[in-house]
Amino acid sequence: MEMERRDWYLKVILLIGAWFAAVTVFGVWEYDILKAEMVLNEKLLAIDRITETAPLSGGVPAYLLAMATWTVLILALGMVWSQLLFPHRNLLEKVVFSLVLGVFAMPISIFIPFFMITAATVFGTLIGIGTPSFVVPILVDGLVNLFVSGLEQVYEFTNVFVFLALGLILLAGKKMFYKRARPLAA
Amino acid sequence: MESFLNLFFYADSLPQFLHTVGGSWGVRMACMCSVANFANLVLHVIIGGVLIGLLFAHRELMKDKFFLLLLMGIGFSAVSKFIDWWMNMQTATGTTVYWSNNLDLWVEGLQFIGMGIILYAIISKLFYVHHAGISSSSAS
Repeated sequence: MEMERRDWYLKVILLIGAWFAAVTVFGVWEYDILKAEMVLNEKLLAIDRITETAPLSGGVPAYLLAMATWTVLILALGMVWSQLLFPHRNLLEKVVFSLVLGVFAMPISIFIPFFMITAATVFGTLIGIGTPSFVVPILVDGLVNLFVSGLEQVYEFTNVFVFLALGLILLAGKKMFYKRARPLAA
Repeated sequence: MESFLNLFFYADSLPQFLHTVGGSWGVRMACMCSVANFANLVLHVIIGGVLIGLLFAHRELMKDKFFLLLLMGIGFSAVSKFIDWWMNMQTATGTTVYWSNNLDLWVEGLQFIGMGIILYAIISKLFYVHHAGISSSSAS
């Protein structure tokens, strides 16, 4: 049927692209946060956060292994969501979507307040009211405290898994309740 | 607004096992932007590969400036991402934070040049007007 061939592939990718473009344009102070994060967490680079004893730095192979692990996780996440949103697309398109979604899913919970603070500060300054009152509490108690406590990666890890679990639940629901989505020839 | 934004700082309410897994798994990379940069780099390689394959399979497309510009823009952007990712790796595999203002400027510069070329290619393609049917005499 005609309806089955419709999907949101380009729309979703363009939406994520527009989101990143907006963050790039507005997030000029990203570097300050990034540098602050790295300096504050410098101790974590060489010391295990959990036991605070064992050195973590495992050299290039360990780093590449971590990259590969995360990439596989991101691909799994993207496959689930592309199976849900556009099952008829080919594998290459699904892989491309997976990487875009993975990059988006990881920092989403940080970038929403990050973006809101920047946009509010920029527009507040432009219209002459200065920095809005919510900025400092969120910035200090929220974002900076998150980095100081070393919780950024816990956040991102959780986001990916919540996205994955949500996708699996929706996919299972679709398979169970939306039988018309199957091709007629099957 | 503050109440709304506070929703995003849910780390304290997460169960302990998520803290343990998230902390022990992710911290080996020093910074999660290394994963994002890596995924982004893979994406650039895939898109660049598809474009090169397309250009080799259909040589006539090389006459179209659009594809070459797109490839050039993706090339600039990919080099930028690679330098960024390499900087992340220096931090993750070293014992001190690696930060170079010079390299960071290269990262941003190459990224913006790449974005500029890609946007120029797309926008000039979108607004290209065919003048073939209009001769100089009829135009005046």
